[in-house]
Amino acid sequence: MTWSEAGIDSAYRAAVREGWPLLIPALPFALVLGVAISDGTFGVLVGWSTSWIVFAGAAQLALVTLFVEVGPVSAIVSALVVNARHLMYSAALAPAFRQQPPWFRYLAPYVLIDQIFAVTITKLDADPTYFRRYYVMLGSVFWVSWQVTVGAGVLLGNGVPAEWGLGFAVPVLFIGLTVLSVVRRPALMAAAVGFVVAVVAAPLPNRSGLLVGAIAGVVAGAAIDRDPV
Amino acid sequence: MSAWFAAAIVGLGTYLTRASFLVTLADRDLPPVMIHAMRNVAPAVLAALVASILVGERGVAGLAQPVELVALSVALVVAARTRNLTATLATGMAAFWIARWFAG
Repeated sequence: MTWSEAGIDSAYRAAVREGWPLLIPALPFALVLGVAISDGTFGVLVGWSTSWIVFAGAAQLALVTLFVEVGPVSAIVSALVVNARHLMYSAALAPAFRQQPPWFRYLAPYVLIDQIFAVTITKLDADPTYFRRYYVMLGSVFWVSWQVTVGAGVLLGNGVPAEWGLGFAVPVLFIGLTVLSVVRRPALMAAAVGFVVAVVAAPLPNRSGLLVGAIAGVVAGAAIDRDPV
Repeated sequence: MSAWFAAAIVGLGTYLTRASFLVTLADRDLPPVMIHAMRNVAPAVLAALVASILVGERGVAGLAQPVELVALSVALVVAARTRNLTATLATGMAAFWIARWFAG
Protein backbone atom coordinates (compact mmCIF):
# COMPACT_ATOMS: atom_id res chain seq x y z
CA MET A 1 0.00 0.00 0.00
CA THR A 2 1.39 3.41 -0.93
CA TRP A 3 1.30 6.34 1.42
CA SER A 4 -1.48 8.09 -0.45
CA GLU A 5 -3.69 5.00 -0.40
CA ALA A 6 -3.19 4.77 3.33
CA GLY A 7 -4.11 8.47 3.57
CA ILE A 8 -7.32 8.02 1.59
CA ASP A 9 -8.30 5.03 3.64
CA SER A 10 -7.72 6.74 6.95
CA ALA A 11 -9.54 9.96 5.99
CA TYR A 12 -12.63 8.04 4.84
CA ARG A 13 -12.57 5.67 7.79
CA ALA A 14 -12.04 8.47 10.28
CA ALA A 15 -15.02 10.37 8.84
CA VAL A 16 -17.31 7.37 9.34
CA ARG A 17 -15.89 6.55 12.77
CA GLU A 18 -16.20 10.10 14.07
CA GLY A 19 -19.42 10.94 12.24
CA TRP A 20 -21.80 8.19 13.25
CA PRO A 21 -22.22 9.22 16.91
CA LEU A 22 -23.65 12.49 15.59
CA LEU A 23 -25.61 10.82 12.80
CA ILE A 24 -27.69 8.48 14.98
CA PRO A 25 -29.30 11.29 17.06
CA ALA A 26 -30.15 13.16 13.83
CA LEU A 27 -32.27 10.29 12.49
CA PRO A 28 -35.32 10.72 14.80
CA PHE A 29 -35.35 14.37 13.69
CA ALA A 30 -35.50 13.22 10.06
CA LEU A 31 -38.37 10.86 10.92
CA VAL A 32 -40.35 13.66 12.61
CA LEU A 33 -39.76 15.86 9.59
CA GLY A 34 -40.96 13.07 7.29
CA VAL A 35 -44.10 12.54 9.41
CA ALA A 36 -44.79 16.30 9.29
CA ILE A 37 -44.39 16.25 5.51
CA SER A 38 -46.73 13.25 5.18
CA ASP A 39 -49.75 15.30 6.31
CA GLY A 40 -49.63 16.81 2.84
CA THR A 41 -50.35 20.47 3.59
CA PHE A 42 -47.08 21.55 1.96
CA GLY A 43 -47.11 18.80 -0.67
CA VAL A 44 -45.46 15.43 -0.14
CA LEU A 45 -43.05 15.40 -3.08
CA VAL A 46 -41.95 18.99 -2.63
CA GLY A 47 -41.81 18.47 1.14
CA TRP A 48 -39.45 15.53 0.82
CA SER A 49 -37.51 17.42 -1.86
CA THR A 50 -36.63 20.16 0.63
CA SER A 51 -34.22 17.52 1.95
CA TRP A 52 -32.04 17.89 -1.13
CA ILE A 53 -33.01 21.47 -2.03
CA VAL A 54 -32.36 22.92 1.44
CA PHE A 55 -30.70 20.13 3.47
CA ALA A 56 -31.16 21.85 6.85
CA GLY A 57 -33.51 20.15 9.32
CA ALA A 58 -34.83 23.03 11.41
CA ALA A 59 -35.34 25.24 8.35
CA GLN A 60 -37.12 22.43 6.49
CA LEU A 61 -39.39 21.78 9.47
CA ALA A 62 -40.22 25.48 9.81
CA LEU A 63 -40.96 25.77 6.10
CA VAL A 64 -43.23 22.73 5.74
CA THR A 65 -45.17 23.26 8.98
CA LEU A 66 -45.68 27.03 8.67
CA PHE A 67 -46.21 27.46 4.92
CA VAL A 68 -49.99 26.92 4.92
CA GLU A 69 -50.70 27.42 8.62
CA VAL A 70 -48.91 30.75 9.05
CA GLY A 71 -48.27 31.89 5.50
CA PRO A 72 -45.50 31.67 2.90
CA VAL A 73 -43.62 34.84 3.81
CA SER A 74 -43.38 34.08 7.54
CA ALA A 75 -42.42 30.50 6.72
CA ILE A 76 -39.61 31.54 4.38
CA VAL A 77 -38.29 34.26 6.67
CA SER A 78 -38.34 31.92 9.68
CA ALA A 79 -36.53 29.19 7.78
CA LEU A 80 -33.83 31.57 6.57
CA VAL A 81 -33.39 33.24 9.95
CA VAL A 82 -33.07 29.88 11.71
CA ASN A 83 -30.20 29.21 9.31
CA ALA A 84 -28.35 32.46 9.99
CA ARG A 85 -25.98 30.54 12.27
CA HIS A 86 -24.45 28.98 9.17
CA LEU A 87 -22.79 32.32 8.50
CA MET A 88 -20.70 31.73 11.62
CA TYR A 89 -19.84 28.19 10.54
CA SER A 90 -18.74 29.47 7.15
CA ALA A 91 -16.51 32.13 8.68
CA ALA A 92 -14.99 29.72 11.19
CA LEU A 93 -14.19 27.03 8.58
CA ALA A 94 -12.83 29.41 5.92
CA PRO A 95 -9.14 28.91 6.89
CA ALA A 96 -9.35 25.22 5.95
CA PHE A 97 -10.62 26.16 2.48
CA ARG A 98 -7.87 28.55 1.39
CA GLN A 99 -5.90 25.72 -0.22
CA GLN A 100 -8.86 23.83 -1.63
CA PRO A 101 -9.85 23.58 -5.32
CA PRO A 102 -12.84 25.65 -6.48
CA TRP A 103 -15.14 22.62 -7.05
CA PHE A 104 -14.82 21.73 -3.40
CA ARG A 105 -15.27 25.30 -2.18
CA TYR A 106 -18.55 25.54 -4.13
CA LEU A 107 -19.79 22.05 -3.21
CA ALA A 108 -18.87 21.95 0.48
CA PRO A 109 -21.33 24.66 1.63
CA TYR A 110 -24.23 22.58 0.31
CA VAL A 111 -23.75 20.05 3.14
CA LEU A 112 -22.51 22.41 5.88
CA ILE A 113 -24.99 21.32 8.58
CA ASP A 114 -24.48 21.63 12.35
CA GLN A 115 -22.99 18.16 12.75
CA ILE A 116 -20.52 18.51 9.90
CA PHE A 117 -19.37 21.83 11.28
CA ALA A 118 -18.97 20.38 14.77
CA VAL A 119 -16.70 17.60 13.50
CA THR A 120 -14.69 19.36 10.78
CA ILE A 121 -13.94 22.45 12.87
CA THR A 122 -11.58 20.16 14.81
CA LYS A 123 -9.67 19.37 11.58
CA LEU A 124 -8.55 22.87 10.58
CA ASP A 125 -4.89 21.87 10.82
CA ALA A 126 -5.25 18.68 8.80
CA ASP A 127 -3.50 18.18 5.48
CA PRO A 128 -5.72 19.81 2.75
CA THR A 129 -6.22 16.53 0.88
CA TYR A 130 -7.06 14.69 4.08
CA PHE A 131 -9.47 17.46 5.08
CA ARG A 132 -11.23 17.36 1.71
CA ARG A 133 -11.66 13.57 1.69
CA TYR A 134 -12.81 13.60 5.29
CA TYR A 135 -15.36 16.36 4.58
CA VAL A 136 -16.68 14.73 1.39
CA MET A 137 -17.12 11.37 3.11
CA LEU A 138 -18.83 12.88 6.15
CA GLY A 139 -21.08 15.04 3.96
CA SER A 140 -22.05 12.08 1.76
CA VAL A 141 -22.95 9.87 4.71
CA PHE A 142 -25.12 12.55 6.30
CA TRP A 143 -26.72 13.56 3.00
CA VAL A 144 -27.73 10.05 1.95
CA SER A 145 -28.93 9.15 5.45
CA TRP A 146 -31.04 12.29 5.59
CA GLN A 147 -32.77 11.71 2.23
CA VAL A 148 -33.57 8.09 3.10
CA THR A 149 -34.73 8.74 6.67
CA VAL A 150 -36.95 11.70 5.78
CA GLY A 151 -38.51 9.43 3.13
CA ALA A 152 -38.99 6.72 5.75
CA GLY A 153 -40.68 9.31 7.97
CA VAL A 154 -43.14 10.14 5.17
CA LEU A 155 -44.02 6.45 4.86
CA LEU A 156 -44.30 6.14 8.64
CA GLY A 157 -46.61 9.16 8.77
CA ASN A 158 -48.83 7.64 6.08
CA GLY A 159 -48.97 4.33 7.90
CA VAL A 160 -49.78 5.62 11.38
CA PRO A 161 -53.36 6.73 12.18
CA ALA A 162 -53.77 10.48 12.69
CA GLU A 163 -55.31 9.85 16.15
CA TRP A 164 -51.86 8.96 17.47
CA GLY A 165 -51.00 12.64 17.23
CA LEU A 166 -47.49 12.10 15.86
CA GLY A 167 -47.67 15.67 14.56
CA PHE A 168 -47.14 16.85 18.13
CA ALA A 169 -43.52 15.73 17.74
CA VAL A 170 -42.94 18.96 15.80
CA PRO A 171 -43.35 21.40 18.73
CA VAL A 172 -41.54 18.91 20.99
CA LEU A 173 -38.60 18.89 18.61
CA PHE A 174 -38.60 22.69 18.38
CA ILE A 175 -38.60 22.91 22.20
CA GLY A 176 -35.55 20.66 22.24
CA LEU A 177 -33.79 22.70 19.56
CA THR A 178 -34.57 25.89 21.50
CA VAL A 179 -33.01 24.50 24.67
CA LEU A 180 -29.93 23.26 22.81
CA SER A 181 -29.47 26.71 21.25
CA VAL A 182 -29.39 28.34 24.70
CA VAL A 183 -25.82 28.28 25.93
CA ARG A 184 -25.60 31.75 27.49
CA ARG A 185 -27.81 33.90 29.69
CA PRO A 186 -28.65 36.42 26.90
CA ALA A 187 -29.79 33.51 24.72
CA LEU A 188 -32.09 32.36 27.53
CA MET A 189 -33.52 35.88 27.69
CA ALA A 190 -33.95 35.88 23.89
CA ALA A 191 -35.83 32.57 23.99
CA ALA A 192 -38.08 33.52 26.91
CA VAL A 193 -39.00 36.91 25.47
CA GLY A 194 -39.39 35.41 21.99
CA PHE A 195 -41.88 32.87 23.33
CA VAL A 196 -43.92 35.25 25.48
CA VAL A 197 -44.15 38.01 22.87
CA ALA A 198 -45.02 35.50 20.12
CA VAL A 199 -47.89 34.18 22.28
CA VAL A 200 -49.22 37.64 23.12
CA ALA A 201 -48.78 38.88 19.53
CA ALA A 202 -50.28 35.73 17.97
CA PRO A 203 -53.60 37.39 17.02
CA LEU A 204 -51.84 40.06 14.91
CA PRO A 205 -52.77 40.12 11.21
CA ASN A 206 -51.02 37.80 8.72
CA ARG A 207 -49.65 35.76 11.62
CA SER A 208 -46.91 38.34 12.02
CA GLY A 209 -46.75 37.51 15.75
CA LEU A 210 -44.09 34.91 15.04
CA LEU A 211 -41.68 37.44 13.57
CA VAL A 212 -42.60 40.11 16.14
CA GLY A 213 -41.76 37.61 18.88
CA ALA A 214 -38.48 36.64 17.24
CA ILE A 215 -37.37 40.27 16.84
CA ALA A 216 -38.37 41.11 20.42
CA GLY A 217 -36.33 38.13 21.61
CA VAL A 218 -33.21 39.17 19.72
CA VAL A 219 -33.48 42.74 21.02
CA ALA A 220 -34.05 41.56 24.61
CA GLY A 221 -31.06 39.22 24.39
CA ALA A 222 -28.83 41.98 23.05
CA ALA A 223 -30.06 44.37 25.78
CA ILE A 224 -28.69 42.23 28.61
CA ASP A 225 -25.62 41.04 26.70
CA ARG A 226 -22.61 42.27 28.67
CA ASP A 227 -19.94 40.39 26.72
CA PRO A 228 -17.40 42.73 25.17
CA VAL A 229 -18.27 43.51 21.55
CA MET B 1 -46.95 31.19 -3.89
CA SER B 2 -46.04 27.68 -4.91
CA ALA B 3 -44.35 25.41 -2.40
CA TRP B 4 -41.62 24.62 -4.95
CA PHE B 5 -40.82 28.32 -5.30
CA ALA B 6 -40.63 28.71 -1.51
CA ALA B 7 -38.37 25.66 -1.24
CA ALA B 8 -36.11 27.11 -3.93
CA ILE B 9 -35.81 30.45 -2.12
CA VAL B 10 -34.98 28.80 1.20
CA GLY B 11 -32.55 26.45 -0.53
CA LEU B 12 -30.76 29.28 -2.30
CA GLY B 13 -30.69 31.47 0.81
CA THR B 14 -29.33 28.62 2.91
CA TYR B 15 -26.62 27.83 0.36
CA LEU B 16 -25.55 31.48 0.12
CA THR B 17 -25.35 31.74 3.92
CA ARG B 18 -23.16 28.66 4.11
CA ALA B 19 -21.07 29.56 1.07
CA SER B 20 -20.40 33.16 2.11
CA PHE B 21 -16.94 32.69 3.57
CA LEU B 22 -15.97 29.37 2.01
CA VAL B 23 -16.36 30.58 -1.58
CA THR B 24 -15.10 34.13 -1.17
CA LEU B 25 -12.37 33.03 1.25
CA ALA B 26 -12.81 36.38 2.93
CA ASP B 27 -9.93 36.98 5.28
CA ARG B 28 -12.02 39.24 7.45
CA ASP B 29 -13.96 38.00 10.43
CA LEU B 30 -17.61 38.78 10.88
CA PRO B 31 -18.26 42.16 12.50
CA PRO B 32 -18.44 41.51 16.27
CA VAL B 33 -21.82 43.23 16.49
CA MET B 34 -23.20 40.71 14.02
CA ILE B 35 -21.75 37.71 15.82
CA HIS B 36 -23.23 39.07 19.00
CA ALA B 37 -26.71 39.49 17.56
CA MET B 38 -26.58 36.14 15.78
CA ARG B 39 -26.00 34.16 18.95
CA ASN B 40 -29.46 35.24 20.10
CA VAL B 41 -31.27 34.79 16.80
CA ALA B 42 -31.71 31.01 16.84
CA PRO B 43 -33.09 30.81 20.42
CA ALA B 44 -35.48 33.72 19.80
CA VAL B 45 -36.83 32.35 16.51
CA LEU B 46 -37.11 28.76 17.71
CA ALA B 47 -38.97 29.79 20.88
CA ALA B 48 -41.29 32.00 18.84
CA LEU B 49 -41.92 29.02 16.53
CA VAL B 50 -42.96 26.86 19.48
CA ALA B 51 -45.32 29.63 20.62
CA SER B 52 -46.80 30.05 17.15
CA ILE B 53 -47.41 26.32 16.66
CA LEU B 54 -48.86 25.98 20.17
CA VAL B 55 -51.37 28.85 20.29
CA GLY B 56 -52.10 29.47 16.61
CA GLU B 57 -53.94 32.77 16.22
CA ARG B 58 -55.59 32.61 19.63
CA GLY B 59 -52.89 34.41 21.59
CA VAL B 60 -52.83 33.99 25.37
CA ALA B 61 -56.18 32.12 25.28
CA GLY B 62 -54.43 29.45 23.23
CA LEU B 63 -52.35 28.50 26.27
CA ALA B 64 -55.42 26.76 27.74
CA GLN B 65 -54.26 23.35 26.47
CA PRO B 66 -53.22 21.41 29.58
CA VAL B 67 -52.18 18.25 27.73
CA GLU B 68 -49.89 20.08 25.32
CA LEU B 69 -48.49 22.33 28.05
CA VAL B 70 -47.66 19.39 30.31
CA ALA B 71 -45.97 17.52 27.46
CA LEU B 72 -43.95 20.52 26.33
CA SER B 73 -42.92 21.27 29.92
CA VAL B 74 -41.65 17.72 30.33
CA ALA B 75 -39.76 18.06 27.04
CA LEU B 76 -38.29 21.36 28.22
CA VAL B 77 -37.00 19.90 31.48
CA VAL B 78 -35.59 16.77 29.81
CA ALA B 79 -33.89 18.86 27.12
CA ALA B 80 -32.32 21.14 29.72
CA ARG B 81 -31.14 18.21 31.85
CA THR B 82 -29.86 15.89 29.12
CA ARG B 83 -29.23 18.23 26.17
CA ASN B 84 -30.19 15.18 24.11
CA LEU B 85 -32.72 15.62 21.31
CA THR B 86 -33.70 11.95 21.06
CA ALA B 87 -34.41 11.71 24.80
CA THR B 88 -36.40 14.94 24.58
CA LEU B 89 -38.48 13.62 21.70
CA ALA B 90 -39.16 10.27 23.40
CA THR B 91 -40.17 11.69 26.79
CA GLY B 92 -42.11 14.61 25.29
CA MET B 93 -44.24 12.27 23.17
CA ALA B 94 -44.66 9.78 26.04
CA ALA B 95 -45.82 12.64 28.29
CA PHE B 96 -48.20 13.79 25.56
CA TRP B 97 -49.81 10.36 25.24
CA ILE B 98 -50.01 9.79 28.99
CA ALA B 99 -51.47 13.25 29.66
CA ARG B 100 -53.96 12.76 26.86
CA TRP B 101 -55.03 9.42 28.29
CA PHE B 102 -55.57 10.98 31.73
CA ALA B 103 -57.49 13.86 30.20
CA GLY B 104 -59.73 11.32 28.50
